Amino acid sequence: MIGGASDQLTSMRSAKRSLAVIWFVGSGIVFLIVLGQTVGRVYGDEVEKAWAWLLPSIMPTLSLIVGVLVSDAQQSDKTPPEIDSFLVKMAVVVSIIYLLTVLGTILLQPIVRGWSTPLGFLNISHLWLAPLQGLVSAFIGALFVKQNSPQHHEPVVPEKT
Amino acid sequence: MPWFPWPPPLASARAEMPARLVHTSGTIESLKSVAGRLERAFRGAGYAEISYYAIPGGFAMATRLEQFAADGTSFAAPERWSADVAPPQVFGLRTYLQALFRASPGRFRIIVLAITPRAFRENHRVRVTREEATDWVKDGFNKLPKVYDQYAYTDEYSCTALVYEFEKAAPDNPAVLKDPGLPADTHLQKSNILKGLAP
Repeated sequence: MIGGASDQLTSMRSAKRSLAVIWFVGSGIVFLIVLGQTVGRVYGDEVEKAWAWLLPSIMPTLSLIVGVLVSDAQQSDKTPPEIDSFLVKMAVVVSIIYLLTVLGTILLQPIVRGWSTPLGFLNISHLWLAPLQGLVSAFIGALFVKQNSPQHHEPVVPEKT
Repeated sequence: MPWFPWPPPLASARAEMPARLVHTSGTIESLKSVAGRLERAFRGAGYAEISYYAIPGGFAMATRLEQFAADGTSFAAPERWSADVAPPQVFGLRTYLQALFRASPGRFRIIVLAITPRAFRENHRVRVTREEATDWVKDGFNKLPKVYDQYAYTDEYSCTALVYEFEKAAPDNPAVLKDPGLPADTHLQKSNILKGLAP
């Protein structure tokens, strides 16, 4: 899934697309489940609180990904830069773990109902989601910030004397 | 004995208890004796806590807040006496998906029996909250004072059931008084109170 020119370097374009697919698929699943719960009135009159929990959990990263993808599409860069594949792998793994944790938090609601209401469980989930979200932001931010660093631009060919 | 809010706050449903179940016509019986019969019926239906209040011309009995199913049947303990919405029973994929995607409203009720020969109406301006109604069982007397043994229950008396039904649309929502709720007759039957009064 993650292409690369060597064991150490991965195409930046490929890395971004992989992360975009992961985030759009994961967020889409979570979005549809909460939408279904909204239609089923699982949160009753407090439905805006459920969305107020979900949107800050996924939208900042999704917005960053979309913004960078659009920005890249507008650039006519024929030779995309490369990036350390370890960083990409970590970003992918942390993203998957984070999205699965968000999904699991929602899917666990019926099971934990003995001691917590649906919204009550979403509220306490910040305890485990916030640190993970911090890690995700750090990795993805680093990934996209690296794109603008000099080492990922084309090598400068010395002028002939 | 403390006074019950009078005229009583707006109820979700109201019904006259069948006279033959409360008192045998033509016989001489005290208010305290009738209260004893009603209390036995309550206890037979699982209501361990009953509170007594004074009302004009008679007395009122209030039950503890209980949770019931959509058809009016009382939940089994301990969910019956819980103020929180009973969690869904998850024992398979189908019930799990239902619990995940369907609202599980909570239905609660308090039954008040008003025994008085006087006509009365509900106070439509007063909508009692679940928290206020929950206190009725705590604020009343645990038994009817002995003085009520001196008053005879005549055919002029009637026993009116006032049902205060509260619903939580979802576990995270506040409970609101339903108006109207299930018919009072349904509440009395499904809670097994009428069964306890049957001869």
